[in-house]
Amino acid sequence: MKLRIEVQELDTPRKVVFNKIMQSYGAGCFPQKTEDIGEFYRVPIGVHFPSSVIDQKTNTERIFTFHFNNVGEFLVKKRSLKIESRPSQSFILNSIREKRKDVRDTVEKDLIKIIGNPKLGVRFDVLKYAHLGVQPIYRTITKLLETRGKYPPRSEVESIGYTDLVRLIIDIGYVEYNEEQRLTPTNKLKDLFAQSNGDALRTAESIIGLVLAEHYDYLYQTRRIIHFVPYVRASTAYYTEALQFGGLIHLTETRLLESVQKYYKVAARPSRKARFGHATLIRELLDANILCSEDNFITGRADILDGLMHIREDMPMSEPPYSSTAE
Amino acid sequence: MPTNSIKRYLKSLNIPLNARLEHMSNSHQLLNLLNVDVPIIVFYNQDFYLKGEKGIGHAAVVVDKTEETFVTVDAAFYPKCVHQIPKKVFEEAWEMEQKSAIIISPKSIKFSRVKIPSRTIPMYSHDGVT
Repeated sequence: MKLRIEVQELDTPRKVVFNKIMQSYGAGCFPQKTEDIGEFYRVPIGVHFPSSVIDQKTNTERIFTFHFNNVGEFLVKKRSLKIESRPSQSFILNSIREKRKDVRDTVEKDLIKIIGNPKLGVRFDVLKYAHLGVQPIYRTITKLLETRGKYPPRSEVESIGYTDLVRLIIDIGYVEYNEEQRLTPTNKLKDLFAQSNGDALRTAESIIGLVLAEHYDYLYQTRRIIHFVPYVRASTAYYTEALQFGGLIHLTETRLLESVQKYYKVAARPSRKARFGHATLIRELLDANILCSEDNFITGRADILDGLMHIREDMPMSEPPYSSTAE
Repeated sequence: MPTNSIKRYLKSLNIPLNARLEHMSNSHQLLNLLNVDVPIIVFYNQDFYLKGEKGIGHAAVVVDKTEETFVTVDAAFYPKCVHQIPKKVFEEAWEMEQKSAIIISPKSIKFSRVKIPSRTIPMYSHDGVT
């Protein structure tokens, strides 16, 4: 049997690129505005990237579509309308990963600022591993509050080799050098100490939170103090998922670990040591009141999520009409 | 799913079917195919169809027609997967995806393709210069 069909001629760069996209990448990609660049047409491509979030307690799944622009580009010859170059699938996937990283970084930055606020009562002292890197801050604050009147001179502070960490506390205005060049607590620190009912350890925890909120990038990227990183990553992974969902969700430990892998591109199957470490890390985050536990599921805090909700409005995503399903 | 993957999958099944991606000139071509019992996978802009705003392309299988509608099988409308789309709205949403269609047909059907250019042939102006 012979059948006659009328088809469109691929006579514009957009059609040529669209045809190639459908053949090789799928309907998730789409051509964007064509640019004339001398001998070629440059056609950038965008992508609609699906992402699903599941609340495991209610078995509700919501599917979202992220819309990312310019994840790769085609060059089409002007004369022959043949494709000169096109991005590989791995290049497109890497571009998508980079764009998602931007979203994750925004959540991470805001989350640290929120949990660093002493009013939230996050207990940084229970994050045992995190303490390794910021012990000098902890010791400086407790020493200043416990040995009143015997404030260390600048020369002594500079001789201990952690001057830059002390400078971070000076930077947020909780300690200062007085006229005699001795390190002294400011009124802000004294107020915080009073608010903590005269508990030096709790005051030091709050200061660690405040230093983290202001100087996380410096501690992590410049000083390479990485001890806080796993805690921040696990919390960011949870709150990024919850933010997409638009409310607090309930996850199992395993699922949360998968989310960390999804957002931070860490090893798909971590070592046995790391897997043991994950359970401890989650427990410490629950004890620190950054995450909560409900009916054997991990959930979050409404006040933390509320503080992040403004990011959701700027997320480049939409929800298809068939998104919400109870599994 | 990219069309090339569908082709590879059909080949691996080792059954006498061909798959081809086409950008149709109009919806009459779909009717021609339905008349010979060849269902077509069409790509249309479902967000435009449902919400009136441009969004992601979506695939559905056109299996039948009525005077006013195309009858599709569409997993997005689960559990009522059989869904009728008014022809007029469908054509607009289909146009956004360059009227793309994947035709999976028996190898016994041969296609002759007539290419329709997107621009009309330039008319000779009164002084004979194009």
